[in-house]
Amino acid sequence: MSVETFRYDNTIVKNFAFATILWGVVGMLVGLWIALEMVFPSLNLGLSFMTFGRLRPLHTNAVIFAFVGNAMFMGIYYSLQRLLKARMFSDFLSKIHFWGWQGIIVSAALTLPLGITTSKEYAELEWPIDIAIAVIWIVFGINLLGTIIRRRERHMYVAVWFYIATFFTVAMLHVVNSFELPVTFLKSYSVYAGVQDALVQWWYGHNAVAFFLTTPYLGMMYYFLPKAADRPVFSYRLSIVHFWALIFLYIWAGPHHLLYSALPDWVQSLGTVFSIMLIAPSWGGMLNGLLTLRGAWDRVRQDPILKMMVVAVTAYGMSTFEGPMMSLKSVNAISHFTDWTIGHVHIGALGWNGLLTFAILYWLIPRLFNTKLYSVKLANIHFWVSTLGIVFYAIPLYWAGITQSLMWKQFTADGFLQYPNFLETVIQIIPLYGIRAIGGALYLSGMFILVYNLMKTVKSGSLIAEEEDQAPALTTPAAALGKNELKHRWLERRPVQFFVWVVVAVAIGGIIEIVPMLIVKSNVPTISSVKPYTPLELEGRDVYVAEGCYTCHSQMVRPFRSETVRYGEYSKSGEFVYDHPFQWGSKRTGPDLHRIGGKYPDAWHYNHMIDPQAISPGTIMPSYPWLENNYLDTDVTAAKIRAMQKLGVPYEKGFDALAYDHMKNQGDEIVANLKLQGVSHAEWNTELIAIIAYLQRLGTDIKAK
Amino acid sequence: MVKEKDVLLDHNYDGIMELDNDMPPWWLYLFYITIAWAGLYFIYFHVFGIGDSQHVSYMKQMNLSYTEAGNGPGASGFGYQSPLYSNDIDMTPRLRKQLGQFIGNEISFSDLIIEAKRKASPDDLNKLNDIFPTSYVSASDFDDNSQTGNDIDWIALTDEASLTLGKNVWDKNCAVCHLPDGGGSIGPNMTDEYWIHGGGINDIIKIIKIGVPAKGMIPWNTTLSPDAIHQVSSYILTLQGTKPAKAKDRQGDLYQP
Repeated sequence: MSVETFRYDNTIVKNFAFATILWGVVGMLVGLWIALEMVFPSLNLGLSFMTFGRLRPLHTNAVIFAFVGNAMFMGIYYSLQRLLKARMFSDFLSKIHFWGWQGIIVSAALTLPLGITTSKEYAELEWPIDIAIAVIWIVFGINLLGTIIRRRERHMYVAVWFYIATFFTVAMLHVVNSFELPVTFLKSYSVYAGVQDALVQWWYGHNAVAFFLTTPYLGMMYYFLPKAADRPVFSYRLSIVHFWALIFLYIWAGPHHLLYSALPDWVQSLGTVFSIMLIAPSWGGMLNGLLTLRGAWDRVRQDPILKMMVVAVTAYGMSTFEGPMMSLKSVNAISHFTDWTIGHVHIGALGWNGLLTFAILYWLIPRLFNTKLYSVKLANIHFWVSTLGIVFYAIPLYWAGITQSLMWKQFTADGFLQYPNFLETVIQIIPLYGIRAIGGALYLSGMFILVYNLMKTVKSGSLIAEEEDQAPALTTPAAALGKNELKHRWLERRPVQFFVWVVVAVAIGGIIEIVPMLIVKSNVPTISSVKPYTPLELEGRDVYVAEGCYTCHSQMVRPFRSETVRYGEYSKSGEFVYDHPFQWGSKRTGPDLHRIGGKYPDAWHYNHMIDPQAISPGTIMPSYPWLENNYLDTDVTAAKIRAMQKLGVPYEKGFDALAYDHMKNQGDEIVANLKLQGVSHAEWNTELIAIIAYLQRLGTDIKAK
Repeated sequence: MVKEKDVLLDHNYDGIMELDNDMPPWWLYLFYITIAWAGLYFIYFHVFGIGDSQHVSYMKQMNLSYTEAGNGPGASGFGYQSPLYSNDIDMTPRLRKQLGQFIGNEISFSDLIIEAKRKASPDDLNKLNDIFPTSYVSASDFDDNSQTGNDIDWIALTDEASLTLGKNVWDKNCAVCHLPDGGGSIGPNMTDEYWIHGGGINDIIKIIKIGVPAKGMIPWNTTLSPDAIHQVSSYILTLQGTKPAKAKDRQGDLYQP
């Protein structure tokens, strides 16, 4: 057996590590800023690109795809080479992957604040960037699979299984969810409408959590935790069972984001039951992590890296128990649309992803630079500051979420809402938003400690760009199953078969849930009175999307007495058939808007957009004065109508040519109406008039008795 | 207690070893129980249909004696017939506005339809008859179950406690459009003697309850209790003649009690 000598590429790992740190600081900084905007809305400084609605997608994208994304690639590129005893398949592809990914992040940071967005959560980037993501992801996939094919280690370790599942599933999710019809270079409409769009989006959104924030991190945990603890993995069987159960079950759970919505009951129930079945597979990962530490707990007390890993894995276990609980309809009735959800995701993001990333960085950077960590003490301080930050972040939000939800639902003895004014329920929880911001600031300050500590570490050593290792080549073909081997062992020797089984496991759930929604008509009962938007309303809708109104306002009245009394009739799936994309939202910082149409006069909306504080003292909605001065690009309206026609919206043939006149008529009407109500300087072709037209239309297609 | 060397597998990945420990039994049982629960849940709601659908459980919230009925006219699926909205009459605010262009907006629903039908071409009339086959509830029919309060002759409250409560309601709900001092901005001036819908306590209570949706005054009968409406209406009358600095021009007719 000939022993081969080869070298690991550490430069690419270093690059991803540095990018992780840089984007981590940026993403958390934006997060802190928008947390403060919820206490002091004027912190957008009167600038359109600094409002919550535009920065919130930037925060989520930066943290998920820039911080966690780069950290994932750092962990994979380091561990994969060593687990397979092979250099990455292609240095050239590694470079394209790295720089392509950074280019995508920069383009996101430029477009999102400008209001260039598809409004689909965690998939907000417009179509040219979507294509770039798909291309770069494939580059990563070729590099990953190529390395696996050229490996010198016969068996694939559990970490590699998770990397394979990550690659394929994210590709599938991204491509299916991003089907959109371009109108201009930076504007497109989702090909799905209303309830179908919502289902596809949350199938994607939930599994972005599963296959972007969870599976690659479980893979990294399986490499770095035993390494850092110097202990064998607790149970190989547990790895097998929880891996396959996790990837098969996770993909079904998306509809739990749409409980008590217009989604058909049967799909909602699938979301609930698959979430409950996910508890054990998720905990399998936590158990295998924590039980691997048996015999090393004395060192956990000393070593900040192990401490961070323990808290990370525990946070993973907590949020994967909490998630299924929130998927029970009776709990979801309270938690949904409130800050509870925000608290929940941050246990995962700050605890699981954040702390595991920090632990890996502290372990990895000294090894890459052939030196020792500059200060263990500072790392310990970082551990405590960030753990405290998580506590200060999450508890106020749980408190706020439950408080506000109970206030929304409270009736008086006479049968009236106790808090009919939504604003009262917001003002009640603003102090808690303040404490949350303190938690966020603590966590960010921990990040700065990390930056300092690692900068010092890097300076004290020098990069081992090429690390030499030796292993025998794989010459004989994979052996048949041995007598005492588990059947799974056979599969671990065969990456192609393994890949096929992963594809089968992750494809089933989506197919069973989504396909019937697209083709079986009774799943979306039509309502004859629901008509397409007028051209002006369509333009107003695009303004609504661009400003990110959906980040604070839902358009989904749930079937509860407390909601129908507050907002009006509950929302029906047939009302959304022309909504490309859907705008149901996921959080109510402000009230639901689905039945806002006709509720207030045009002048109310006009004045409220320009200065919300004047109309609703104490509100945390920012002012939108620029809507009054921004003119609609009426040249593309016809193209938008044609795009909608292609998507099946039944505008009459040739309507695109009439769109401008129709739009002007409706705009003039609103301007005239505003004059009667005391607003004399409105112009019909401004964004403000368009958004009023849209808001006044919302929810009016089925009528009051 | 198993010894670690007895369960140590010969796996070695970059120095990482694996143990052949059994899966924790409690973990396995947890997994089995959740799978069983999932099956039962789905069967309960969707195979035998014992559990209430989302719509039925909503109807039961709204009406304790509700029982599931068949599909009525205008039901939008699942035997649906809303207590608040009705689909059998496809009259939307938008459509109403379009019809209103013929004859002005200041008109009741039923009159609007009758007028629209009268002025429509034979073709349009057929369409209208298709959409609006049923007779309409007119504004004066709205008085059933004391919704408008016309069945009671109200007397304005004058005691300090009630007026303070009334002012609270005003500040929270009304001041946004009528201004805190009642001078009017989006909504009309409440301090002068000119009223669009009458200036007596009964008129005011009625308008607060049923609103003037076409002009943006929302009905408050689902938000404010009858007592609160009585109190705020009484408070509004105390604003008469206060002459705020920035009062809106008069609208409507001079009201003489």
